[in-house]
Amino acid sequence: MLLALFLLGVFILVNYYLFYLDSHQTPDTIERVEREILPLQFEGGGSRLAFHDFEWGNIHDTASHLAEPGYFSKQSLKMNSGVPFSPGLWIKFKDIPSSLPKRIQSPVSPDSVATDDNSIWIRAGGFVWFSCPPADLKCSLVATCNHNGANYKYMFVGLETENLISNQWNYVSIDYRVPSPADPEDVLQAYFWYRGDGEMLVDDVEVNVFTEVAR
Amino acid sequence: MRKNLKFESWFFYVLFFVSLVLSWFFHKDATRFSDRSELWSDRAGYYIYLPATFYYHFDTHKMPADLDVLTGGGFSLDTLNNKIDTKYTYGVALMASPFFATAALVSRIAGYDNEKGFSMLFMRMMSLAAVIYLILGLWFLKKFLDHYFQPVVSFFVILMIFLGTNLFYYSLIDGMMSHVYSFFLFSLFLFALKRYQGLESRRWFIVLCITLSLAILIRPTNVLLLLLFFGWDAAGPAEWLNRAKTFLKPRFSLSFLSILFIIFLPQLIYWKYLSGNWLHFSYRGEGFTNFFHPKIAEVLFSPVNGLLTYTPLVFFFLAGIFVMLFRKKQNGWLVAGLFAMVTLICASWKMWYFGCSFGQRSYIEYFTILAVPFGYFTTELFNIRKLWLSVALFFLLFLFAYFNLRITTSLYRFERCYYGSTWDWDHYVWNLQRAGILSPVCQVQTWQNDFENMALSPVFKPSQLFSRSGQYSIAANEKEGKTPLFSARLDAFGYPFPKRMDVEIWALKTENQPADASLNYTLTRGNEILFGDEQPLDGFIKNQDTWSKVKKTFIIPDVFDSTLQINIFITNPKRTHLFADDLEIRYHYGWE
Repeated sequence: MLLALFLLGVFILVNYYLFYLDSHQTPDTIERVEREILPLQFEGGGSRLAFHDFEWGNIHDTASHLAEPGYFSKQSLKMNSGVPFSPGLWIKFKDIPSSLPKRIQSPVSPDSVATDDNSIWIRAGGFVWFSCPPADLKCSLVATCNHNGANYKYMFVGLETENLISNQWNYVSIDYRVPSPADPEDVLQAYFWYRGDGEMLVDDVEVNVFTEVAR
Repeated sequence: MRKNLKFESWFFYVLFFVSLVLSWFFHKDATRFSDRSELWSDRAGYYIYLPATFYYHFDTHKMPADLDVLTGGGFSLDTLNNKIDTKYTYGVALMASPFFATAALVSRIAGYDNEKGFSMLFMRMMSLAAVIYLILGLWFLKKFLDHYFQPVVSFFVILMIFLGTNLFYYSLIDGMMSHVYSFFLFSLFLFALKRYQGLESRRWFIVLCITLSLAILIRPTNVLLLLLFFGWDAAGPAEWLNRAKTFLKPRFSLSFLSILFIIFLPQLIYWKYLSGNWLHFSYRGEGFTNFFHPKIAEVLFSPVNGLLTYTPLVFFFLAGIFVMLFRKKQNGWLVAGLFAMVTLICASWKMWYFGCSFGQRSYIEYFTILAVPFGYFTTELFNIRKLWLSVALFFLLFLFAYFNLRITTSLYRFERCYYGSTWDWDHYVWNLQRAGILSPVCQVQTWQNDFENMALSPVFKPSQLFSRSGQYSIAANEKEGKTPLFSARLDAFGYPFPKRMDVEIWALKTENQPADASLNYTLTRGNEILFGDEQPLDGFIKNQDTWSKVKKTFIIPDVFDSTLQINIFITNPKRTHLFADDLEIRYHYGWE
């Protein structure tokens, strides 16, 4: 009987220990980030949805926030606390080109359940240049959907964890499987978000959409 | 022997002191009119006879107009007809009356405002009454068990019944419910039965009659106790017959009927006052409606107040019945039959889970009888030679007692009702995690509602016209065309919140034309809708009068405000005849 009581005590202690461990875990938002990778069968099936090379503006016009040099070009976008968001992709689901699968255009139909067969992906990427230590670079490449101002499937790549190199151009990208939207008016977005107090250059921001390549 | 008696006295003194302290602890936050009070809801329904008799003289005009509301609706005041309406009988009030009288006397002597029977003193005295009846019940049970077992077994059995069953909850937290009183009466009946059988004394027969009558008054199904009078320790059918013949002798049967009548008389007078008839069925809309399809599996195993799911110690009681049958002990078949009958009675009752209960509370008084098979099991356990088996069984016994105490504490800390569905095991496991029995607390994965548990009903009254499972469904014809099905704040999930939810519901329409109805989802902050989506139903419900499954994946946006609320409802602007049943939600915390 005493041995059974001792075992019960052990059971209770183990439970308390597990509870203690669980309650003292501090969720690290970076570690919790989901990362999606474009499946092989989608590679090569991409078409461009957006591209920004920042070559169009006048570098001397301060309102354009442009800087020299660009990535194998003259100009790039200078991001800082005054320009926290880069141009990227902003498109309503209903405006996505009609050659893409029907699921996107008819989101509320009963058969609108996403499957691997009819899924759509985007890959958003661009070149970044910075001079601060890589770990201090406070910038994210974001892909998200938006419904009446509320984001869903908000995913990002934190540049500070991407092993980038200072004082040279680095390519960063994010793969994003497009979810079934709640409404055709919902917006699909991708952009760089600079969260720091310093400066950073961005160039050749490009978003491609992928559907499965027929084999 | 003397040493044993001394230990027994100390044992019960300590038990009384500990129970008193625990009862005080569990009621320390109670205020006069709150659900933590002993005089709330059903408990107030049992108690109201006392203040109604001694302070208000059954005149509603002398009572505060909203006393029924203030005390949780356990009784109602019909001011139009000047009637106090309680569906419960007066047995509990009768047994609590000495404590009521003491509270009244102390109030008068101390000049303390008695609030006409609803002051804190009366509430404390009702808690004390429950503790006293608990200890007396356990004491009589111990004396009864001593006829069959070694004292160490008897002590062990009553301690395990106290700590390992919902008797603990229904004496120290909800002590004004009838169960601890019935438990005491059953224990006294068993004690008196052994005395009567040994001495054939008329005095003990009178005690048996009073106890049985009170038990029947408190809960008419307790008439099953009569079986024990005829069958307990009977050597065979001949002895059953002999006892029946003795009982039918006029001096015995008339004594019993006279006592039964005297004890029932005040109740008959109350029923006459209330309804105009001497006999009155006060449980309107309830009853044994499941008699031809009893919910036996649900009563025994359901996550909603199942007997074994909340009082797993009963597994050992049942094992004891098998021990009795296997070892051909006396009373084995009688106890087995009684357990089957009680189960059938509970499973036949319309609300088989007995509302906001902790486990199957209707069995509590029968634990006195099930203590006998448990005693046989314990005796076997003490004699097991294999160490690992002995340790494993003792470990399970102690674990089940620990389980009961943790769930009781959880009920004290959180809500008293169980907000889960008939077979929603995920919610049951979550409940155990919240009670600290299993760690750590995991994220909520699913949610089910078959709309059978009234505590979980999203509408005032579910419909009985159509049902896909069980007895109820939801008629989607609420005012303004919106019928709620589910709502939950994001903080119920803990962070991170789910990102998507697959919603499945079964729907039925009785008309052939399109209903133009839809399954809707909104995420709201107060009255402001932040996010919404809908699924038209007509595409899914093809055939009239046939249940069809409706499915939709809804998106939960990435927000940080845990006060936001998820709402799922049906919009039915034309208010066509549309029914919904068996809602199931599966949460996804990622986008994979």
